[in-house]
Amino acid sequence: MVEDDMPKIELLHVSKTFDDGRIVAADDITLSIDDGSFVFLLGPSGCGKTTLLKLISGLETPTSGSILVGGVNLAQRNPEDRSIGFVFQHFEIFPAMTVFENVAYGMTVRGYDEESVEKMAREALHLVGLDNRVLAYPRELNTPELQKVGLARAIATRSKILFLDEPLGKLDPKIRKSFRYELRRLIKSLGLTAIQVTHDQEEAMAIGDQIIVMRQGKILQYGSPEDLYYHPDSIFVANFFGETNFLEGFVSEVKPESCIFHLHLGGPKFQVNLKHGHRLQNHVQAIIGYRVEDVELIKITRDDHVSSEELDLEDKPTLNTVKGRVKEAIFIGPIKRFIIDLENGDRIQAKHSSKFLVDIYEGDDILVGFHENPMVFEYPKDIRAELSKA
Amino acid sequence: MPAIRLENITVSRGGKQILHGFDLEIRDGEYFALVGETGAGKTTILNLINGLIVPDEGRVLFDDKDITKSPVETRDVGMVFENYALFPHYTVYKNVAYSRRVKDRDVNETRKAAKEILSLVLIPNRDDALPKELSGGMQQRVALARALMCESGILLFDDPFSALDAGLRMSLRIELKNLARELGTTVVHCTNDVEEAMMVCDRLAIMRDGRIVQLGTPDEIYYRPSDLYVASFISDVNLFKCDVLKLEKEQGLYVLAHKRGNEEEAREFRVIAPERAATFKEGEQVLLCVRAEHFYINHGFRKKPNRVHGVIDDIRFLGHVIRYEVKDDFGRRYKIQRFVNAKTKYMKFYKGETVTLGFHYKLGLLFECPAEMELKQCDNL
Amino acid sequence: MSTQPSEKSTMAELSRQDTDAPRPGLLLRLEKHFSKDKFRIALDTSTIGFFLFLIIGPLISLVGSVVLNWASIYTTVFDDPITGSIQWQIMGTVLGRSFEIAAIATGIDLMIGLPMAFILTRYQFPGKNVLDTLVDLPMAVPTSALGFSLYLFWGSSMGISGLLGLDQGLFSPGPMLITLTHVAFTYPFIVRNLKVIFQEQSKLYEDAAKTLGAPGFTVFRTITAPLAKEGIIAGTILAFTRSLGETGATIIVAGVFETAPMYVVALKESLNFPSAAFLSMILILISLLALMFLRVFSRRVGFPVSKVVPRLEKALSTRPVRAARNTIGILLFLVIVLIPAMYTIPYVIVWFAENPYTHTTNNTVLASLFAPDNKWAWLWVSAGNSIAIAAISTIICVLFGLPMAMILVKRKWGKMKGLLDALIDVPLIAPTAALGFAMYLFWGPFGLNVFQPGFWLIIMVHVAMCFPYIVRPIIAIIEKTDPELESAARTLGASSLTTFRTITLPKMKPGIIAGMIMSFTRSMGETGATIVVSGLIRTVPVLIVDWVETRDLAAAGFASLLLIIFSFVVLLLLRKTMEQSYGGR
Repeated sequence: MVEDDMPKIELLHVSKTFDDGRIVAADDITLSIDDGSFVFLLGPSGCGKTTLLKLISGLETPTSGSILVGGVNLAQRNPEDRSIGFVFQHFEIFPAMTVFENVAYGMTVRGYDEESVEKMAREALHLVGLDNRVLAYPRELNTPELQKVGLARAIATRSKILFLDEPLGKLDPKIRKSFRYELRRLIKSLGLTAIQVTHDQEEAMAIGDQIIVMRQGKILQYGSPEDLYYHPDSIFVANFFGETNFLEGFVSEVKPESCIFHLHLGGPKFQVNLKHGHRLQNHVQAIIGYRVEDVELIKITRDDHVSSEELDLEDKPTLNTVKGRVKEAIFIGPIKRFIIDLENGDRIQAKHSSKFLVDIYEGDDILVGFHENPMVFEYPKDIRAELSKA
Repeated sequence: MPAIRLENITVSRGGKQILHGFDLEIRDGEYFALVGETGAGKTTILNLINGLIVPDEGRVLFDDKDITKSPVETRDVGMVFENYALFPHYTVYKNVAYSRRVKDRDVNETRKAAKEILSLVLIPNRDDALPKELSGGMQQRVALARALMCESGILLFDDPFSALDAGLRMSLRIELKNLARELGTTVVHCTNDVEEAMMVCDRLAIMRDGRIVQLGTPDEIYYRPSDLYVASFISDVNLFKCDVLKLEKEQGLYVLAHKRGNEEEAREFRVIAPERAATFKEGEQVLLCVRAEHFYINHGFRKKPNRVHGVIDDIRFLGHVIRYEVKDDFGRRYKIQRFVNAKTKYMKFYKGETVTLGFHYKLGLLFECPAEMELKQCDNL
Repeated sequence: MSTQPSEKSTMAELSRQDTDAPRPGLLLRLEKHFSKDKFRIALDTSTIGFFLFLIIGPLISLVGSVVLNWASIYTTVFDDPITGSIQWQIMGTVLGRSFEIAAIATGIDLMIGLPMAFILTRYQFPGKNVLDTLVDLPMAVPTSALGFSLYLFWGSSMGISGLLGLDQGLFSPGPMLITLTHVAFTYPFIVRNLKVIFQEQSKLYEDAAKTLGAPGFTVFRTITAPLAKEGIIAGTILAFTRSLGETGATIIVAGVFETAPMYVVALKESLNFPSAAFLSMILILISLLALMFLRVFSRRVGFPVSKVVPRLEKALSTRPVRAARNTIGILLFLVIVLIPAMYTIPYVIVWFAENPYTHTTNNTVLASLFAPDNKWAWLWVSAGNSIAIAAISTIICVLFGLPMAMILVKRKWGKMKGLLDALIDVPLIAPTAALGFAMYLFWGPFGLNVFQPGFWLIIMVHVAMCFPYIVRPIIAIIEKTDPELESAARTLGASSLTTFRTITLPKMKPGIIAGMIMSFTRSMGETGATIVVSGLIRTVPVLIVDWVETRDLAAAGFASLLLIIFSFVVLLLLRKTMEQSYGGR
């Protein structure tokens, strides 16, 4: 058995190919995971996240590269010789054993004495709240209960690293949303390092410390939820989280920290602040992005003529504005969602909390306000690929 | 486009009663959503409408015509199944044209109609492709097109988006809603995602264990849920067991006192709930329910009606929403959802900070105090 | 999940090393040791080696001996100084006959089996389980017993013609009788195959088709049949080759008419080995071809369903038509398959002690058995032989079949695995007599000279025959099991062998038991190949053939009955096991 203390996990140039190199599941991955952090592998289906999870846990061996745990290269070591916990997407509860026997399995096959087995299993079952189902068989349990058995079984052996492969995928949305916080609480209270795979960006943001966004076998970006949400490196990453309106156009008067953005199709000009070290040049095509919650809707009074001084624009004194017409206003519980056609032909969406009783309706002519700090991107070669979520 | 009515339906399977004395009326041209957890009975209802299930008792009517005994193939109800059920050995065109082919319709007319519908769902040029060559989103559209070719004016959707990515799901929902509106079909859409339902429907019903718990517009369900189950189905809720101190009947204003554990003074809550005016009396116990998104959060400590205090225990960032968990001295946890955007995100809160939470008196929901079990169920998992 | 503030203290508890470090016992340590790669390789090698030796060896040696002795074979078959090419002509004739009979029997089975498969998968009614078991019955009956039963029913004066008041059997031994026999024993294969196909995912597509307005028959023609195409073709080929290779029952009902497998037996008994080898080889090659065809080309064959007028289809889907279809299906089953197959039972009962015609003890069962030649003793000894052989064969099969099944499912060997998989099925398809002869050549006095015709040679032959019956059910169960279950065990620290013992094996148990029962039954009923290699030993099926040839019908009947009852009991056991394994999930 391996070291009890498992600090940093490092991957160095790890690749995994199948079918004689024809399928590249992982492409030269280098990353490190700190002890005690809850990391998410996030990406569309087929991006390689599950393969990466299996590589780190030992269920697959890399074609090349090394996987270091606490400085020791475990790349060629079998999973049964490590000390890991794994929660599977389809639970993989042993059907012929009771809940207790399932949870005790990891200790039983390692040769712990009966007393210890009993103790460790009961502890784990108590932590997930299944004390009253110990003698039941898997076929008698419902989905959330099965999920808990899988979790208890994985943590019972006291391994320090927990791997989770889309563990919440089979639950109803309501339960999924509440259970994920319980999951995080459990992992944090036990001081585990956890690596979880998901395709659900909301889940990753809600409970992850760090998120690794993957696509086609490569890592696109790595950071905290806020990092990725507010500072995406690429259109794909920006589009992957939340909902974004992308506006096309070109830039002029490019300075180190700002520029003027001309909305395409004859739209108005925007004042846009730029990040330090940007690489835009004058008169190149660009794309700016606004989250749907950042789009402001300003009601226009009867009087057609509008100037910014007349508007009550609350905190922000300067705002880029575009005229538009509300095509649809949909109420969804706590949120009101709007689809707006801008005067230049672009169609955008806006999302606001219904708490603020906004009286803007379908057919209204309004002014749409855009702040001065959008996400800014160079125009990509293949815009459709960037905007696809695959 | 017909109205659908289910009258006094009883359905049993394998000795278990799935539906009993069940009634439902769906209006002509309406987009109706059936929401409930897995096993609530939604698919059974769809199968009653399309005829794959015949009720043990009761009637099924389309526009006052009793079709309970009509076999499946005569009802001509278009259905999109959960996993699409596209015939794997037929091309896109053959799948879509199937309903007309089996009735031996004129080939040219069928081709024309099929082409029209395929361009409507945005797949104009894949007539000869086989289902396995298409992506999930495209398969879904072919399934939709195939269902749209049915001429009864009724469309049934059985969780049609569950197999798709989040982003695709969002855009398809809007498309679907507009399409149905354009064509004026009556739609029955089943899902376990209440957000999805609220986005597309005219009215929805929340189902549980074969019964409808509440039926109404999204507005009604959200602002006036009939019971705790419905309220907590849509969003996280915070619950307070209170005593009714005073009731002003005309306004429907309740003054409630809430006391926990060994707190010395009770907190006061004021809630306006006119439709509940008749339900509760002074001195009675009542359950106050405040949605996580209806609490607003401020720094510091303020003692006023409709306020609670605590210390921030956990902050989770979800993009356009920040979720706070606030704990008070008595171990109670409050869940708050705060919408943030570019303007408001600068107001930050930190873990360990003392905060005051407050809610608008019109946004408090009142329910009867349920048994202890039910309470636990809502609070935790 | 508990949300008490006690989490922090629990964490402290967990990390305290107050439990002793694990001390794995002997079993666990042994398993870990033997899980090493080198042992796995050794096991794989010996399993495959055994298989090759068992099945491939004889086949190759057969082909080899034909090639090596080509000159003498050529002379004997094509250019004999006395008889010329008569051998070849005879072979051609018997082959043609076998094909004809197989084609007709399979065709009839498809027609009468289709409605039955439909009834069993699409309807629910009390007594469905009984009907299901009855359909399987002919499969449980050993072929010679089956042949005897059918001979009694159709071909003797004591069967249906007796009821009709005729002196002779309706059909005298010959092609008609053979065809009827083949129809009876192939029926369960076809129905089972069709059942599996109809039960699979097509239900969802059928529902979709119905909601789109297609009446029942249209659904069948446009959805069910095309989707089932592959399975139907596979089942048909299997049934065809089964009929082609059938020996045991055919011998009984053929009279002087000869089919190809029968001719092989005849050739061997007349010591015309070159011809026997040649014909065997041809038969085996044909079945191998059929096997290949099955695997490679079935996907490409289109299903001939031309458009039928929708109005006609609607008419065909109405309730009265469906009811008629169902009734006819059941009636045909009873008259052509079940009653003839089970006819021995009433026969033995009626003829047990008293001849119903003459009211003497002539030709009664008792008289026959206790005649001076002491058939009763022979029966006991043969029964003992049959059981011993079946038991030993089954055990050997399990020992080598289990690892073979694991190899076929788990190892990632690409094309090699496909080849291995195909070869497993050879004993199922190749004509038993030909296979028996090949093994006789390989192991017997003209080959390795390890075994003389007799007990152990019979066992070798039976092991080869029963091998697929063990391997296939086990493979089926492993494939149905989620492979990730074993990954889960490994992540929890279990070595390969421990995983096998604690997770895989319990899951496989029903499959192993089912396989053992099928293998045991198959061995008990094996006739064709056993005749070739039995020498002086007798098993019960071979005994039956003997007695029919000496016209000791009553005794043959009794022996058949014993075999039938035995197989019936075993079949019930099988059902129980299957129900348990599926009910318990």
